[in-house]
Amino acid sequence: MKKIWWILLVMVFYSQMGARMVSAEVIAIGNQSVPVASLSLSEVQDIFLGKTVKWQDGSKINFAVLKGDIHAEFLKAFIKRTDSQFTAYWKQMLFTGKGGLPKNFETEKEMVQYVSETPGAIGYINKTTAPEKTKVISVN
Amino acid sequence: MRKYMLMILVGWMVCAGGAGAVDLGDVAIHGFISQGYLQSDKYNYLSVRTDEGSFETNEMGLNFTSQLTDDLRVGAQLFAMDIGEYGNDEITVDWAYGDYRLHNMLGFRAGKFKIAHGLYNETRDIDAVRTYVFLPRAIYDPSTRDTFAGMKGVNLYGELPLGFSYHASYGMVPPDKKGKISKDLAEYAEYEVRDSIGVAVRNVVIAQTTAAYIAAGFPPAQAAAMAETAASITAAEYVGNTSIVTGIEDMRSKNGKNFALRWSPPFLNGLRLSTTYFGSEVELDLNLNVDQPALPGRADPPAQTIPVKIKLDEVSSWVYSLEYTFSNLVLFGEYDRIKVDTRDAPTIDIEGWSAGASYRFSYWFELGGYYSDYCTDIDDRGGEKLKKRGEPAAVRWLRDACLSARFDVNDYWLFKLEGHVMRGLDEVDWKVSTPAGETPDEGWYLFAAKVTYNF
Repeated sequence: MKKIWWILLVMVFYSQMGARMVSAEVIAIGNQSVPVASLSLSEVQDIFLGKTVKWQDGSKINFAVLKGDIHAEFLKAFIKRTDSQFTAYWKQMLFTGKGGLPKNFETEKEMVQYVSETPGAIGYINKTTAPEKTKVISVN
Repeated sequence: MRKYMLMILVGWMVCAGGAGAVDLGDVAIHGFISQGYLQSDKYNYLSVRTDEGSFETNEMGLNFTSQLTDDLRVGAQLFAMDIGEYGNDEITVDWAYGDYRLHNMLGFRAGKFKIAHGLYNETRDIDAVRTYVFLPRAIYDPSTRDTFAGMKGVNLYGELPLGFSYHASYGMVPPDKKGKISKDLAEYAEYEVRDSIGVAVRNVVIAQTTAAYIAAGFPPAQAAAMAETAASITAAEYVGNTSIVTGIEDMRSKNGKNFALRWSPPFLNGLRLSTTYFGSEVELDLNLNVDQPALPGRADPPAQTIPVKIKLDEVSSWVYSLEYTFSNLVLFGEYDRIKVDTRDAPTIDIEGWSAGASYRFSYWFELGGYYSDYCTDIDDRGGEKLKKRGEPAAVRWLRDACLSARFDVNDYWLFKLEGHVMRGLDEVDWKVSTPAGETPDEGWYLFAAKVTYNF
C-alpha cells in the first residue's frame, strides 16, 4: 500500500512540474484587438476548453487549433492533455450541446491569417513562424 | 421518423467515407451511431437475450446547432436507443435548448438539457468519448438512462474563480411510464407501500361488493355489512395475497432539481472533484389486478382491476466523484446514494460505488478496467426481504469487475471489446435458466463488443 502512495505522489509531483513548464517550441498569438498581453497557464487552458468565452472587456474569444505535431506540442505544454483527451473533451461538449468543435486549420499560415483578421481571436504557432499582423501573448 | 434518421446516418457513413461534420451555412450537423453485441454464459441481462448472444443494443443521435449571436446558441439532438425492452429505438429529443452566455460566470439555458449525475451521465449516450462499453452499473444504470438522461426547465451555469464551476437546474423529468424507473417504482409501490394500497383496494372492493348485494335485492345497510364481512381480512394480507401490478396508467413528476459543483484545483493539474444532486417528486397511477372476495352463492369470482395512486415524496440522488488525469493515465472513483422517500413506507436507500483506471498506449489502443459495487437497499444488504418474497438474496446486489479494450480505427470509427466478471443478480433474468426450487448461482460472465461511428 505504501508503494502505491509513493507512486501516486511521484506522479502528482511530475504532473505539477510539467504544468509549470511552458513550451519552448510553441507560442500563443492573438488578434491586435485582444485586450491582454499575457495569460496564465490556467487561463489558456480555460480558453481552449471553452470554459472562458469572453475577454475581460466582454468581447467574444475566438480560439482556433492546428492539426499535427504543433497541435500535439501545444496540448502537451499548455493544455496538459493528449490529443485523444482533447478530442474526446470537445466531442463531449458537442454531443451535449454545450459547444461546437473548435475551428481548426491545416497550416500555420491559415492560422496566422485567421487570428490577424478575426477580432478576439487567439491561436498558436511554432516560434520560428512569423506571427504577421498578430501579437504574441506571453504565457506564464 | 426512425427510418429517416437511420437513413441520414447510414447515408452519411457511406457517402462521406469518414469525413467530418456537415455545415449548412450557420447550422452544424453532427451525429453518431453505435451497434453492440452482448453474450453471457448463463443469464439474460438487462432483458436482452444475452445467454444466446444478442445484437439488441444500439444507439444513434443526430444534432443540429447554430450560433445565432456571440452570446446565443440554439441546438437540438434527436436520439434513439435500444437495450432489451428499454428504448426500442423510439426517437426522442435528447436535448433541445437555447443557451445565452451572459458572462464567463453566468450562462442561462431554457428547454431540455442533460442531467448532471456524477462525472459521466451527461455523456453516457456517446460511446466515442469513453473507454468502456458499459459505464459502471453502480452509478450509471444502463436500463434507466432513457428516463434519467434529461430534464425540461431552466438552467444556470458558469465558471467561478479558483477552478470551480456550477450547474443548477429546475424543472421536471419527462415521465416515461414504459421505462425502467417507472417499473421499479411500481414494484416498489406493490411491495413497500402494501398497507396503504391494501386500504385503498379494500375500500374499493367493499364499495363494489355492496353495490352487487344491493343489485341482488339486499337492503343497503345489510348489503354494506355483508360486504364488510366478505372483505374482513386485513388490508396487508389482502393485497399481499392477491395484488399484481398489471399496468402503469400514468406517471407524473414535478419539482425536479439538479445541482452540480465541480472543482479543478489550479494547484493540482489533472484533478477533478465533483458533487451532484438530483431530486424529483413522483406520482404514479397503477392498475392492480385483484381477486374479489367470494360472495355467498357466487363461486369463483372474477378478478378485477383497481386503480391506485402512489405518491413518492422524493426520489433523490447524491454522487461524489474524483478523477485524476496524468498524461495517458486516467484514474476515477465515484460514490452514489439514491433515496426513495414516501410517507407510507420506509425509505429505500440505494448505494453504489466504483473505481477504475484507463491507459492509452497509442492513438489506436486504450485499455481500461473498473470495479463496481451496487446494492439496491442498504437496509437489506443480505437480501433477507427478498428471500421472504421467494427471490434469491443475490438479486439485492451486482458486483462487476470489468476489463475493456478500445481500438480507434480513425477519428470517426472505433470498436471495443469488454469482459465482465459478475457476482449478483440485480437486473438479471435468473428464472429462465434456473430449475424451480434451486438457488441460482450468483457468479456469471458477460462479454460485450461495440462498434461506433461519429461525425
